[in-house]
Amino acid sequence: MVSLERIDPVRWRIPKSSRAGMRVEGLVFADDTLIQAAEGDRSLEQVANVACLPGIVRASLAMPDIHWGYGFCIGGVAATDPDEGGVISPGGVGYDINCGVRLIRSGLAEADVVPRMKQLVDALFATVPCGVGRSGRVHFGGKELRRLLAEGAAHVVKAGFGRAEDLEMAEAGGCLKGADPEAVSDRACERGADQCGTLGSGNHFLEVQVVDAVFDEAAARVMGLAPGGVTVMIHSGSRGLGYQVCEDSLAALAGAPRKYGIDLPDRQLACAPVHAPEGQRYLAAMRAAANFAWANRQMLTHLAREAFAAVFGGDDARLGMGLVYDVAHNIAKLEPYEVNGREKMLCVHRKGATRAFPPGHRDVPAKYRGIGQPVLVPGDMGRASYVLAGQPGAMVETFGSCCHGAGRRLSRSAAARAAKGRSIARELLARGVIARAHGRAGLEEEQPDAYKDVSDVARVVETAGLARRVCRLRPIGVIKG
Amino acid sequence: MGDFALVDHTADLGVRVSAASRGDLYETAARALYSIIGTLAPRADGGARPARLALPPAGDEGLLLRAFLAELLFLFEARHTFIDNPRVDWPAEGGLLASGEERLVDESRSVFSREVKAVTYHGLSAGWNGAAGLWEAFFIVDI
Repeated sequence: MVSLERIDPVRWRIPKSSRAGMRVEGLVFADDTLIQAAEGDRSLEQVANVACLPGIVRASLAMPDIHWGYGFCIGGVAATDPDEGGVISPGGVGYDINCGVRLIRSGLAEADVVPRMKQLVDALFATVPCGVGRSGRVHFGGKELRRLLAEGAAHVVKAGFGRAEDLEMAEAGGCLKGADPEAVSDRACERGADQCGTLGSGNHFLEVQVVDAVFDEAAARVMGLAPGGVTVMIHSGSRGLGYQVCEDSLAALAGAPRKYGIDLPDRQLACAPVHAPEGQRYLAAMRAAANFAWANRQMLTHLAREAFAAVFGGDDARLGMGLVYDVAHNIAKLEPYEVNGREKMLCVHRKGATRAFPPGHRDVPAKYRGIGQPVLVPGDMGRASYVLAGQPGAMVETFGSCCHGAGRRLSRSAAARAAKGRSIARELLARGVIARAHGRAGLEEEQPDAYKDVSDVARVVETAGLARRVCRLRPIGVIKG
Repeated sequence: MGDFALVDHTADLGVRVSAASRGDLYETAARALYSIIGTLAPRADGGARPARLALPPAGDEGLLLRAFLAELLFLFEARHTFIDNPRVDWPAEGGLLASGEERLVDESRSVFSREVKAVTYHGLSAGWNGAAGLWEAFFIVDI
């Protein structure tokens, strides 16, 4: 049990005195309802545990969609200073390296799409490989896969699966420099070889949405989002390749804490100094896996465009299906921040947290530099998702970070029990959402009631000054694995 | 043959296994893992071959069981196979040797439920419970 002190309506402090070994305090962004939920699982303890990591700077942070994870909580953010022995931890990234979200706008309006909604969802379901054991349309193996791991989304764009301008609208241009394909094991490559261009299962999805509320007209206009406009949101990551990279890294790092004299409160915070060979190897492999995820989401974009073109005729350019943005929400990156008056390169872990750079930041695409980086926050398939824009407060308090989603409210088993005797597909249809999934478990365990209300999460980050709401997206069609 | 039960664990699934023997514990844990993935049907047109997995010593029983399950997961994901009736032996030098029949999954006849990303280290335990007179294990899979 950790102690919590309220700072203001959306900030809570976990003081250093909460547990032995904390080097910094914990800072949790949440309102009363969300903090109560966090107190119900052990996620606050995890915030306190992360505060014990060597080289951690300023605070161990948690976003309002906080819930229990492995090592770090989901919604956890921590920056370490490599020059001060700061560590990198796979637990601060997660198994699904660069799980993230991509938003595609279209020139279609709700009225254009609804009459053919079933046809569209069926086309998406048939075109986009989703679910367990599904292989991608293209097999990337051997040397080509290694090239893809180095080049990221650009590799598949060059192969004809996308547009050059897509790369500009992805975080890091859809590719992290410093990836080392040779740091990715043959096993990871074997696991991922036929999975590029697959959605996956669980909470991954491809959703057709309508812009149903605009909060910042000027920003929405720059993003090409208008009321009634149809969008496509894709949530997926690095698939089996990334999971295996994490698995391999956890094994490789098992002895590192002892070797470097790091005393950990939780074995799942296994880590190594960033500058150590083990830390560098994980960073290089993680970057390669992140690049695979961007290539994956780029392939999925191409397939979505194909399905739309098949249903509505013409090509995706005529349909106006341009990329709004693509964000990672499970990643560790080296980013510059001011620490005690000096600019330092810090290792920022975002585990279920999204980068949220403000207006004027040099890493925000030129098109968005006036409004701030788009932050894509999926909710659930019954209610809403949000598009936010990064605010200066994020750079001051959270190393340019923000929430990533709604956060689970019910366990999988509880959600499945709650679904007994119900047809989630029929309930979604009554709400105006056509859903297709492989098997009942997908819809039952991922039903809207299993998640917190993302509107509460979005409101907290806006109140805290981390990001501001640009628009709300209402689902009208979804495919799941 | 042992028993297993799935238990609530936030976004993922916990698995509690119990069995009369060490071998049954591993076989039941494998069965539990496959049941989480779905109901796997083997290809009728061949593709079966003898399986032989050799794993090094792992520190404790829980870690060894986890490594065994992680190997099964890898085979399923990377090679679309599962081990039918796995039998596990423990050589004197440590680690384990698993054998059985490795069979290709028939995707058209299988019913898939969930994608398992990994068998995690969280809450991991396995060993003999003298008081209960059973081998027991607990592990969590990341969905």
